[in-house]
Amino acid sequence: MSDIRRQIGVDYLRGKKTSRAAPKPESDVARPPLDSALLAHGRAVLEAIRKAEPEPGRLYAIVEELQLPIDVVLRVVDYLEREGYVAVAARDLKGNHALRLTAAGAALIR
Amino acid sequence: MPSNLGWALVAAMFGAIVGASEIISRYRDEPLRATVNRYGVAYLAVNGLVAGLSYGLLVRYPTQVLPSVAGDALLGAMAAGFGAMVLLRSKLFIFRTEDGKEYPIGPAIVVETLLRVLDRKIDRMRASARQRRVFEQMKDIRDFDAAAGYLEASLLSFQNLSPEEKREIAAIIQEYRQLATWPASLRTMAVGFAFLTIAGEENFDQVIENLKAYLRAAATPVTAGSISPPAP
Repeated sequence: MSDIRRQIGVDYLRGKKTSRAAPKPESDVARPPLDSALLAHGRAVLEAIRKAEPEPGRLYAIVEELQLPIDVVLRVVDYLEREGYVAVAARDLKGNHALRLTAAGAALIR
Repeated sequence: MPSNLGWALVAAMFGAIVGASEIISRYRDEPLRATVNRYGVAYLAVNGLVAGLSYGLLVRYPTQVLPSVAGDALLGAMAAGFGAMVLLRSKLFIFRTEDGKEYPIGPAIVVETLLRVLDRKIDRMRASARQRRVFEQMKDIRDFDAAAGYLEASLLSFQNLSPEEKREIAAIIQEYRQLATWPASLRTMAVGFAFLTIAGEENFDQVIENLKAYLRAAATPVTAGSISPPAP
């Protein structure tokens, strides 16, 4: 696989060589761009959750505050939960989950 | 001719160069910004110090560590500077357990841990800066096709990319177009990160400003009155 394809390609999404189970990239530059995009949004979401503390952050309120499309925020929250940056305190059928920062999430935006 | 201290400084300089090349190869988007900051400079300093100490080892144990450079100060400084970590990994000390197993013990593990911590600090600092930059610049760009087309055209105009690399970039951007299940704004931002990695921060800022102007112009309806007649 060429260097450029490894840096900016989407092969990892299709389970080629660098799958999601693969070790973390050696640096942020080597992180797949879609993951970087999720994490870039993720920082804003984490900061919005922190602002709401000690109450859990509500997903709809975050959508409102950040003025981001809900499909984006839902996918970002899925990613943050998978990576251990947020915990879903209460799952809502319509997506208005109650979210709390984990220690890793708090450390990421410190 | 320089004294031992002088040659140790030469070795340290070579070691710092090796450290710089490691940072540059890992942070391709902004190698200078990754190097010239407190963690980057500390990384170079540790590499330099380790190289200087390695030269000291070569002088103190001329026949044990690397006999082939014994007596040649310049060669010793180069070996210590460019191969400090290899020298530190050499079996200076062997720990034998009761069951007869041997474990090489040396300063390498300490130095490697220290360098890994500094590298992680550089990475976090760069990651945070990259994510803030791309998010702030691109959060309002929702038109993936227009943005991807513009960024693709900008990338392909780079003179230092080979035709194969340009073809590959075009193919990869096409693959992003086909990820229809992903929200457009995430795909747009992903292409932005790819662009930043290849083009660097200054180019990124400039091209994104131009992209926004292009999108504004494309969104403005053209009316007869909005077009000025050409100057006579």
